Amino acid sequence: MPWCGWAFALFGIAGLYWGLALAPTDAVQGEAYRIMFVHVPAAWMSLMVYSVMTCCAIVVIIWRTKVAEYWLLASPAHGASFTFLALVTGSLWGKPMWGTWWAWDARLTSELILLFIYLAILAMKGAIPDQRKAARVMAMLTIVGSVNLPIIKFSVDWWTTLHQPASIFRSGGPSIAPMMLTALLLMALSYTFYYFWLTLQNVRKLIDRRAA
Amino acid sequence: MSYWEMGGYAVYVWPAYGISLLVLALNIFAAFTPDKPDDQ
Repeated sequence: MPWCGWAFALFGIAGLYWGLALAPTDAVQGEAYRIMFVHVPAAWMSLMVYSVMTCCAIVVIIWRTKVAEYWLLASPAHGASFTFLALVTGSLWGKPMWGTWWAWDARLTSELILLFIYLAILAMKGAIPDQRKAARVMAMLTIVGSVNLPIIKFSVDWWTTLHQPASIFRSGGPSIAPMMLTALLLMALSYTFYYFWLTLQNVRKLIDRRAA
Repeated sequence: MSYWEMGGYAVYVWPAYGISLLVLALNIFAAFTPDKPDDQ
């Protein structure tokens, strides 16, 4: 587990250096685009954490595997944090670029709904003292909420949105400069290791608590 | 590039990095803080 923490730190330092010192200034957005290096990985992670939780939820419902229960119990706080960061940093990016902190645009609204779903799952966890029962209720709520994932991903294609369409995961390959893409991927790797590092730590605490 | 000004966008860029680091740090603190007996 500690190596996940070291990987988070190393990729994070490399990503920050690449993003803030090496990547060139954007021709259209100027220096404001550098918010991308904290905003986009947070947004990706908000979806990735929920996808992992959905897989765990299916396992919990069908097989009631303890490892899946622990992972499901340990994940939503991190997913909520990433979603919160995606919304706040997006707002800080939106003000200079769009002229507004917030718009009821399909991508922004569906991401906000994701935050509410995470908070509802966390509320379930807090409300049910028995961990195994809590995991089952959380699993059901997670599966119901997973309908929002494709809506978030494809909102920019299905509706006319203020938010830009996908520029990395799209047919035809990434549309951003390689230097910017490198910084983005380093930060995304850092966030991924961060999630696994802290979730493993939380799983360890849950196991200790159950053993106590 | 001046990191103080960032072409006039520093007022947006640094808060974005600041709040990201703050939230990530708070989660690390929470994960490595032992549970209180009341929480169990």
